[in-house]
Amino acid sequence: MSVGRGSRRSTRERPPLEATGSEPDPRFTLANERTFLAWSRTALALVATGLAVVEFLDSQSLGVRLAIGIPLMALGAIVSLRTYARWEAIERALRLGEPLPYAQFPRWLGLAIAVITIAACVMLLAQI
Amino acid sequence: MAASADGPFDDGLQLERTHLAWNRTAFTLGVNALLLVRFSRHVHPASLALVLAGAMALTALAAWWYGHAAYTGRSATLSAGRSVARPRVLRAFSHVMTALLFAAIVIALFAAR
Repeated sequence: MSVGRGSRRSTRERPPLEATGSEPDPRFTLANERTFLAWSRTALALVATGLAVVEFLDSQSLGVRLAIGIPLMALGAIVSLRTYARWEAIERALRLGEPLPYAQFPRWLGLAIAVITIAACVMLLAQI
Repeated sequence: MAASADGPFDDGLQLERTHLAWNRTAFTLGVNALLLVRFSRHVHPASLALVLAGAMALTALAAWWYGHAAYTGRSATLSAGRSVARPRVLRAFSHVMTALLFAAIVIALFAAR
């Protein structure tokens, strides 16, 4: 999840969020928090799907189920890794009145899900 | 949008929507905990998965409680003109959830043994 070209300073170099810029419209802060939670739920959904594949795809061997499930779970964990950084980058942009950082991650997430899905279909068809 | 003596409570329903978002997140965490309990039969020892499921369930409870507490607490914060941003809470939640999800991957790899 890209945090934008203007935010490449490390966390230790940047001033605390509370000391940055001015307080934005609370509606935007709350919308940012809801977006953070939406990304968290996306991560949880990916992990849940991975667990469900391993648990409920009884027609396949455990190896095939894990081969599909673990990449989904890994993708979910990676999404979760970047949720707070994205929230903070947007909050800083709001406080400084800067344009919101463009997010590249959704594109890569969609691509990764497509690749895993296609690979899963190939594996399942190969079992037939 | 701050609630005041003259204005409506939660103008624009922002607080309510945020409260619901926390509830949905708590629910999703709970579903993951249940799936881990079911998944534990593939893991030896099963207690590894069950402990992680318990941690996830506790996080779900914490998320639900925070969403509820923040709903009423933040309306007073807005009325007082203070910030509604909670970076420490979000950072802690993000770190805990990330740790739980990576631990779930480790548990799944245990099932592969």
